[in-house]
Amino acid sequence: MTASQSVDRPGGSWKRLETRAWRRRLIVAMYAGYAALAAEILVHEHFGRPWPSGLRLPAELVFGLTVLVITFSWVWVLSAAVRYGFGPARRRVTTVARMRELKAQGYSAKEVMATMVLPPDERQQAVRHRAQAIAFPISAVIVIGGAMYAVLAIQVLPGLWLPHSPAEIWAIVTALILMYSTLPPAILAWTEPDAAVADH
Amino acid sequence: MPAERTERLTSSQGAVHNRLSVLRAERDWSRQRLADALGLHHQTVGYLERGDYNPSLELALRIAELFALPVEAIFSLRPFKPLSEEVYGRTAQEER
Repeated sequence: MTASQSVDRPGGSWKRLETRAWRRRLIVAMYAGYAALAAEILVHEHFGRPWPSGLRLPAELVFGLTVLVITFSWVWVLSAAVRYGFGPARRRVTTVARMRELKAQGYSAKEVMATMVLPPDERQQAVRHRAQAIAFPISAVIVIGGAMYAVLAIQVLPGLWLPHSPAEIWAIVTALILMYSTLPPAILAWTEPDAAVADH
Repeated sequence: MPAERTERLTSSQGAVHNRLSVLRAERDWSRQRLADALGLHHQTVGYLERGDYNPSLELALRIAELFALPVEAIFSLRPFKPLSEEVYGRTAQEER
């Protein structure tokens, strides 16, 4: 830090999600949620269907709650990613309040609409590239490690666990989708310092 | 100092000090207004002011052009003295 200006803490419950502490909690919730879901699937597969009667309702509740946590944090991470140009290399920046402000300043509706989608600026591009550079070796290690494990389990040590049931295979496919869609934005959200609040 | 020497050797991006917040405050501009003038996100202006992000040469030149000041008046590798000290300190020295 070179300047003496302190970090303003965003107010409001939704704005609070933008702070680094909350971003980190959401990321942990997303990956821990997925781990819990995968564990539930494995336990379910181990005990066979249907669940024992006493465990059915709690298991379904935990399953539903976990899916909700994963879905919320996944959507949140992806929406943050789009703002940094991870998606179609464009970002949506204009809030309703900002659009009203521009309108009050005399800008036409067409001009206001033009500010809704802008390319990421140079800092956003730089942090996006840094996040991708960190994510690439991590995902490479996971994928190559998984492939080597599969070769080992098939050719060398046939006793090792391999996914057999559709639920187990889907759990692995979902893990890959989750990893590829969230790893760079999750790294970005984890490392980005708290932003200063706009002082309109 | 040993710590500074180590940091200089290990850090690929040194700290660049800036006067952006002072210049913005002098003109009574919001971060959003400065961001609009430079084609940046307002949070990027915040990161620049706090020194969390060092601008590219192109952006530094655009900022200098916007404030109609030389780049070295806005950015420096060494911490800036307060403007009051710099202006009045120099005047007092000259008077002596």
